[in-house]
Amino acid sequence: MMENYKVIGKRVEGADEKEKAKGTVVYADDFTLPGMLYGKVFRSTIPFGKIKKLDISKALALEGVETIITAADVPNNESVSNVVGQTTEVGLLEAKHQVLARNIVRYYGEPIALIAAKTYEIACDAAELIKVEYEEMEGVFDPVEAMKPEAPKIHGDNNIIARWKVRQGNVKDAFKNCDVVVENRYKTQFQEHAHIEPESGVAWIDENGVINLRVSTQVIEQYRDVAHVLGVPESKVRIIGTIIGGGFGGKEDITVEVFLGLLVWKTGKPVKLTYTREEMGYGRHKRHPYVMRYKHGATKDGKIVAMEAEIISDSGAYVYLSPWVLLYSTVHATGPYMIPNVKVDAYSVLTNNIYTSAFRSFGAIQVTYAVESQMNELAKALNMNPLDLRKKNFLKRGDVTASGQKIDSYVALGELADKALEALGPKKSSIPPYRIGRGVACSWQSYGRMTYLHDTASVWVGLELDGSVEVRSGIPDLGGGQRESLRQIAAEILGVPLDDVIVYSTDSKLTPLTGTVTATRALYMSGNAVKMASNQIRNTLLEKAAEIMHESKDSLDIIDKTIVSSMTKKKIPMRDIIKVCASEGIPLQTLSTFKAPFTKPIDGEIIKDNVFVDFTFSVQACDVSVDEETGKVNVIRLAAAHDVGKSINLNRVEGQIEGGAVQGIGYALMESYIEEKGIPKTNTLAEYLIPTSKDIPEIIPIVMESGTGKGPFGAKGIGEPSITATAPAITNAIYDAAGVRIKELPATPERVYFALKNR
Amino acid sequence: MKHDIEITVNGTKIKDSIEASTTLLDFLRSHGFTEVKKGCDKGDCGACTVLIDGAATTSCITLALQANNKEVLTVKSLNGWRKLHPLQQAFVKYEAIQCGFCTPGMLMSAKWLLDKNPHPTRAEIIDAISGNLCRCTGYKKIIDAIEYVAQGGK
Amino acid sequence: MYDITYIKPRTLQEAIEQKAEFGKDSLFIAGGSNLLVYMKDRKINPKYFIDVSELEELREITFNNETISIGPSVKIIEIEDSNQIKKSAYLLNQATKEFANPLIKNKATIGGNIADASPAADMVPPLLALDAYLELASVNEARQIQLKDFFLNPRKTAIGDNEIISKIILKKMEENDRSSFIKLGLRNATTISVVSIAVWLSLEKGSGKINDIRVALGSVAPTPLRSQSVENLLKNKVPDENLIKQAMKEIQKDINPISDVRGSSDYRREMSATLLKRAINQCLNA
Repeated sequence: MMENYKVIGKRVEGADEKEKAKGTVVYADDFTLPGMLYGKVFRSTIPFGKIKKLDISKALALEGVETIITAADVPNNESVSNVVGQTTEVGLLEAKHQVLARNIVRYYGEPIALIAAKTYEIACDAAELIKVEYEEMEGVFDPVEAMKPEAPKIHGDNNIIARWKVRQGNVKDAFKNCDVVVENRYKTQFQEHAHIEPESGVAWIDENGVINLRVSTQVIEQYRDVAHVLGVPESKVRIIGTIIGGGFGGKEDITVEVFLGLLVWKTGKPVKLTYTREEMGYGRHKRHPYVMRYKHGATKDGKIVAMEAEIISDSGAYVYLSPWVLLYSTVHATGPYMIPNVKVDAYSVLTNNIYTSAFRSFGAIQVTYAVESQMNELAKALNMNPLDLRKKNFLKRGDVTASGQKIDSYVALGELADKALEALGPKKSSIPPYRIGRGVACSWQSYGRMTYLHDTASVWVGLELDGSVEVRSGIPDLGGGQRESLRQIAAEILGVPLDDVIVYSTDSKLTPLTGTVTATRALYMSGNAVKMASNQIRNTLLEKAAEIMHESKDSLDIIDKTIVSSMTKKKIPMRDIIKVCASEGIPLQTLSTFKAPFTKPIDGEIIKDNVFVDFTFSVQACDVSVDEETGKVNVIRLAAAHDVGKSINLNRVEGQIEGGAVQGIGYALMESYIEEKGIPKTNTLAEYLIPTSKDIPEIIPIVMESGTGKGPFGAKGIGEPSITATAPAITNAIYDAAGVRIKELPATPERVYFALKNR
Repeated sequence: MKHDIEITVNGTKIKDSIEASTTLLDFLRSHGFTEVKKGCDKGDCGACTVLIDGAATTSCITLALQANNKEVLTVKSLNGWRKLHPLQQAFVKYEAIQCGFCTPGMLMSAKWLLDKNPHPTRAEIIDAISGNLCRCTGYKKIIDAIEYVAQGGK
Repeated sequence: MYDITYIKPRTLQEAIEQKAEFGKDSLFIAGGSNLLVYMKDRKINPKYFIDVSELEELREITFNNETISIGPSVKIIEIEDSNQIKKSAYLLNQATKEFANPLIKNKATIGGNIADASPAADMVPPLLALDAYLELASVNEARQIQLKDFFLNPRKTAIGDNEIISKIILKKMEENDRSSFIKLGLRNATTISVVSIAVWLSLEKGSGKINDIRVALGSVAPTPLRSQSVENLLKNKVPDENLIKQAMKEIQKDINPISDVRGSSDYRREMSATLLKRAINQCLNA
């Protein structure tokens, strides 16, 4: 096709940005209906125990309270968290959780009852009047402890709810033949999404008796879950997705949807439910904390010969997406390196902590932290430059990893690393007590879902009579330009001005289901679908134009709503061809479904097959200043280099790179959601600290385009890859600055200080 | 107990009778000014930032009655019917907006800064928005946008 | 549900009379940035909020020969923007740079920061280091109390049931005085201090002798405090590396930090010493 793109790859202003700047966008909580009730979730205040008595009588009697729903009122009180949007059961377990706790609560904050009242204040007052008598049980709060046979069991008879393995070669023998062996234990923390917009939605029943849920969500397919819980047909539950005020995986699992469904179904009246920031703290899932033991062996020329890893993730009180997060970790566990002998054992374990599930990078970020730390430790033991060691072992296109994953795109890591370091420029000198250090970390991060989930994305594209274009897609928009890319692709292929293309989106009944905005799949899946649909219409148009112009279709192009012949220079307005098609009954709209490669589900625990379509390769390099006397670390400058395949909207790509890096800085240095024996300690944004404008370095985004991605125009994905390598780049820089290896995140001043002291 | 209140919001007098415990944020949102966002309701995130008699502050921890007889400006006071304020234009131009939820508050802090100090340094810009949390952009493009306007860009 | 009545007195006299009338059921409110959070957390549920934020009598800043008097309803931003305070009580200006963020500074008041009595209150160590005292007014009588005697426990002060802080009086800084305020936090803005320290000292011209010194810390005890041990050690001495090292040991006698989500008591002890060293050196090298 065209090499000189008109809109692809440009810095393009998004359609909704002006509206966002003007404050006119109606987010979930901004929406109100007449007669609307206000919902509130009543939650457990113990981490583990039986509910002996639940007394809602006083609350129900409060004037203005419309209804209180408990587990007994829920038609199907079990929510099955199979990978949403799909129908295949995967992994070792179905992930079931109670919609409302009936006899037992397993984490502090678990929902027990739902209230709907005339005002939010009355709903809060009612919540205070609900009395629960608990019989507390001894819980377990450490996943390593929870693996032991004598540990309290959270569900059933085994706290280990997922296991994945990688086996290749013989690590035992291989280690014997290594010149250096480096073994370390790494630990990571609960991270909170901390999107600025709380989970929120409004529900009502329309004139067709359909339950409408207008919610801030990354997954409009949740309507199936809601329908199942209510025992109503799936055709009678509709989700309209709003413009989302941040997600990062926090709005991937079901949030307010099923509660709204219950409240509207019970009362028949419109209901709004918005979580408080505290509820977002103790009531919503977090990133899995990991404990990882990694052992690497290499020969003195720098070839990594063997790797052994034991990975334990804290699944919290319910399974949710833990097995899939663990699967990502297991596949990514080697880092982007070719290693002949590999043994990985990964476990996900239940505890009475807050449940854990999806979060940007989805299991790759933890193992990347460990691997990239190991690479530097290995380099130290070999007396090699850390980047040179990596370069000797990087994956190449065509390689098959120990988990059976074929690498099917260009691996740009070497060049990315060089570019990132070059961008940093010369390292400044240390002025005690501030030590300057430089660190590099590499990452690979899949884009597109696991292939045995048989992912599909449907998008409808249609031409108006005047040549303007409509795209209909269910894809939610997280702010990363998910919808915007569809506009650009349609505009590019159909040869119309960008302003003439409108995307109608995110309605589970009125727009084709394009799947979730998760797993960095949006551009790959929906972009390809839009490309398919647009190309089909383009072909139809050009075929008809060729017929009319008596030219070969191949010599025709569409430029600015005009069909142009490169041979004869003849021009016909697009509108004229559309008119002909219309009168001949030739449709100029189509629904296309893009299918990702389909593979069989993994049989057993050992992974020995492709799991992902492709990966985005990235390198982050940074300079830090370590205050040796306090342990405080500041990132001075950070270069983040990513091969995005092809950038569709350069502004958006940079925005993801910068935003992901800053979220990574938070993960590395200051973010930690803390529970002590299951009791939350950091519920507000005053205690759970995310970076402010004063915490960011100079950020240099570097965009490389190998054109070898599986997305439209050779694009890959950037949403998740942008965060994956930040933390180890920082901890490697800390080592360079001050000679201490931080093996536990976050690298708070205190942690760094005592590491320095005990050096 | 209910109290009479009158606040001029974006040039329009709003009169009502409210409970004393009503925050300025809830007052504004319940009167249709939903461009003022509730992110945390505790003064920690800045999404609810408005100008009260020219001073940018978090409306969620301000009693509505403390703004009685005062002038409150929200982000909607910046733009005209078709014309964007230079700050809004710069935010769009520099792609300083992703999900957009922090944007109204962020713009008001920027406005407060430029009203007080028309040509701030980059460090002063960073300080001025240090109470506005953004989780999407990483702040860089926001700072670039404000700096552009501070340097005379339109 | 709250059942609060909002009252806005027009004069200080009215305010203290209203307080006398409503007693324990009423709370003075100025900036409200702490009180509203407590209200939402349902930690307080007063029947009356008495708004003193705009009482002119509580918003005066007066510069006397040796002291400065600041009204409790003066906002932190006003202290930051005041060139005169920058000139004659620089330590206060230094503290405003570390205080929360501009949105909070635009409404929070110095009186509120004191009355809230958080062990981490950022304006208090500087005021202690400037030997501040408070004037407390009520319908009965006005009285004075040294700021260092005002704090009893976290969020508990010696204020009487019907009293209001009516003035904050602190010692002016002279030309040869030096000051330093250091706050150690887990991020670079809007952060509750792990440890904070304010040092004021007066140097003798030529000899380098410390004529007088005041050292105050936050977040290392149930209340902000002065470190008498360090002050006694360093007063009338010419400081050198060894003396400062001694001071770093002495400070441990006066502090009693706890472990919490922001830091362990061990870390706070070590940081108190480190920040003391830095603050003194900053003063000496100014």
